[in-house]
Amino acid sequence: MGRRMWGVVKTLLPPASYPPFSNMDTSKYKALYLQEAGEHVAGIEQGLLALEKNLADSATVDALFRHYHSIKGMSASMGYVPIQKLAHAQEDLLDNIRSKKLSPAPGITNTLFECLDAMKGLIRKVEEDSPLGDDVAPFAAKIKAVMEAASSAPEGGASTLPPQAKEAAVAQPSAPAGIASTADLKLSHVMKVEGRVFDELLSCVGDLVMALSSFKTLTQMSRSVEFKDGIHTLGKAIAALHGNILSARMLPISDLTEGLPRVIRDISQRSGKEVSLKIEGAELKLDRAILEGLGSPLVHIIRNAVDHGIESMAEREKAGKPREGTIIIKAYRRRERVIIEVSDDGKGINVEKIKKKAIAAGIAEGKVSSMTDKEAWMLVCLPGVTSADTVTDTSGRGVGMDVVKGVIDGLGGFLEIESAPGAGTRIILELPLTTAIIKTLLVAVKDEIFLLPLARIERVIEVSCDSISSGVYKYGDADVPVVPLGAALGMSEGPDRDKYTLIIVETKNMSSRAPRLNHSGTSLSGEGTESPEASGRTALRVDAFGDEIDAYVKPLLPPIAKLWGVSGITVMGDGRAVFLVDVGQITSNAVK
Amino acid sequence: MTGDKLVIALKDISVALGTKTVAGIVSAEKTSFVPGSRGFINGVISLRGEPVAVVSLGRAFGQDAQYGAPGLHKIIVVRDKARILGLDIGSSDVTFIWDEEIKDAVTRPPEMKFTKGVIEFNEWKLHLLDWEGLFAEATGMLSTDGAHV
Repeated sequence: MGRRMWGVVKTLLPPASYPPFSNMDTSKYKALYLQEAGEHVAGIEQGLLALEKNLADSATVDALFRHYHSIKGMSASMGYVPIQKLAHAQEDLLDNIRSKKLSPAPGITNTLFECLDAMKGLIRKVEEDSPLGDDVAPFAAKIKAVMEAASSAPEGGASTLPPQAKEAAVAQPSAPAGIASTADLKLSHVMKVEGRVFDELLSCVGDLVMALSSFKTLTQMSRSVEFKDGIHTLGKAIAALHGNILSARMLPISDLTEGLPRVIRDISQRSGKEVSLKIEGAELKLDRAILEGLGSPLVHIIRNAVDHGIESMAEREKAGKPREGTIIIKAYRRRERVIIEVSDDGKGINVEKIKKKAIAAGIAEGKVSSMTDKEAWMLVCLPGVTSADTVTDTSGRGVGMDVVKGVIDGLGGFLEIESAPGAGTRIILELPLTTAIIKTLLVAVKDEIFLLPLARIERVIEVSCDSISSGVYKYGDADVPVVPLGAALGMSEGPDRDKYTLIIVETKNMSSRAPRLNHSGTSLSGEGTESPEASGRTALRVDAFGDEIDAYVKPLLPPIAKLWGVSGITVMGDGRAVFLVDVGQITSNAVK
Repeated sequence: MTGDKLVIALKDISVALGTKTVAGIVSAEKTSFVPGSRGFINGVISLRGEPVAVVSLGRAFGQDAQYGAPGLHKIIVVRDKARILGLDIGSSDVTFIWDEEIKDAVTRPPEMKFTKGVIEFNEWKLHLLDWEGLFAEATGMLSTDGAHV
């Protein structure tokens, strides 16, 4: 994510003709254009100053040429034709100097300064959304005249400029009406800020949230209305600050997926297959940290799909499929989470083959043979287990999907796999929109407390011990499996209680809800069978529940980095360290 | 092996660690439960808002009973640039030995696990704690890679 977005825009353009994005909304790139144009203009200004001191400095000429060239390309892409033309004229002049057709002369730098001022004025008009009506022909004519005069000068001698050109070449920089001069210093409205600044800001807000939590604890023991009011105001300010920082950190998924067509082109060419990519919902925004973490997993999943999912063209034709395989990336919101599905219309995962490989990798045969298809598909996420027949340069060694799952888990997300023989495979990634501060519910088990992410909770119910003695709870029309949270986390069971609290959470078993795949990888057909584990819900049994709190959740670091069943930790106002329960992991294991 | 040392008097042995690595000493009646904890893993506490995993030093050296007893526990938090770890020493006594006192003492190879050597000083054996080794062992014990697929 460190790369500049502008670089992406440029690479999407045919380099020679620079057609503008006539049918594309370029407004979202305007801020980046202004930011980068400002940098190039500053570079040109420094370069021209250096050139005045040393007219024979070829490195400076080269650098200047690159700056003009960049502005020309950027402006052409955005449709800012006057700026493009002006930059082009100056680039021409520099090119002549670079190729020794012209000798740099003081008059030339003066003219370049004058044109630069004109270009700055035009860029300012872009910033102000004013029309770029200025005719740049006079500036282009001046440059042309300077070039003609300089080229007619005797070799090695001083330039003998014709009167018109001489006038142009030695003229003091003067800005035409409406165009700013260099004396008019103004900062851009757009600031370039390193991503780590936002990371640190978010961390600071996290510390503020924790401090606020301590103060809130104190207010409970205080009778001072002023104190409580002050804490309330502080809380609102911290919430606003948090919201603004999160908003600044959010980036569209397209930032990540823009590079994928090239990835697919390279992999499919290497494997001799034809593969097309469709992306839906790329405008959805995710926290920068999550998007950044998603890069490698996404590429890995796509490599797997091209190398091992999608058949050869001959096989596809034989199977009655189009020669060209299709990969679809579909992003959409589900409550406070983002779902990213990567589907291919390939041959699907051969469950029996996966089971055999899992057994060969050391998983107990009895356990493997009793697995449902859904459980067996997840075996590809075990180290050393692969569905691939062949090993390519990039995939098929059974190294990767375990790492992909680890990364998604680490981001607070969840990975699921669906596959249909002959129809394709769908990898479903469920991710939080943001990291760090999340809304949670406090729950108690024995004398321990844990946090549950509020976004996963559907309902909280108090029940008698008898009503859940069979291990399921009748919730509406469905039997929901009951999972004792303490036992799932490895705590010893305490004495039976008369009453328990059930936290009804969404179970990440999507086979009952998600559509089946067809050859296009998208069509709906059929629903899964309704079993307790397929009801889409699980009841986590706890002793009691407490407040809803905004928790600043820190990542788990060694030696507790790879704990099972929890995904983060927070420190409460009273100093107690409390784990955030990984609901997906708990329920996925418990429903087996 | 130079520098001032914090000395912990466990039941049968004295363990020393460099004072420079000590980030703080915390008194805690209880640590938070760590899922899947076993062996000498004790729980987790916080120090200045930072979560710290805690191991029982006594249990790491095979001295079970008294270190799991309820009551106020002393937890010595040690850290370097990349790691932080709490050492639960129960109610064991703590003292200091300054560098000048042991500068001429002989350091011998380690005699037991999780130590880096032994300083012999005035007929006193100080086992230099290898807390990094304890950290690594704890990381391995708490790692659940692939265990729950």
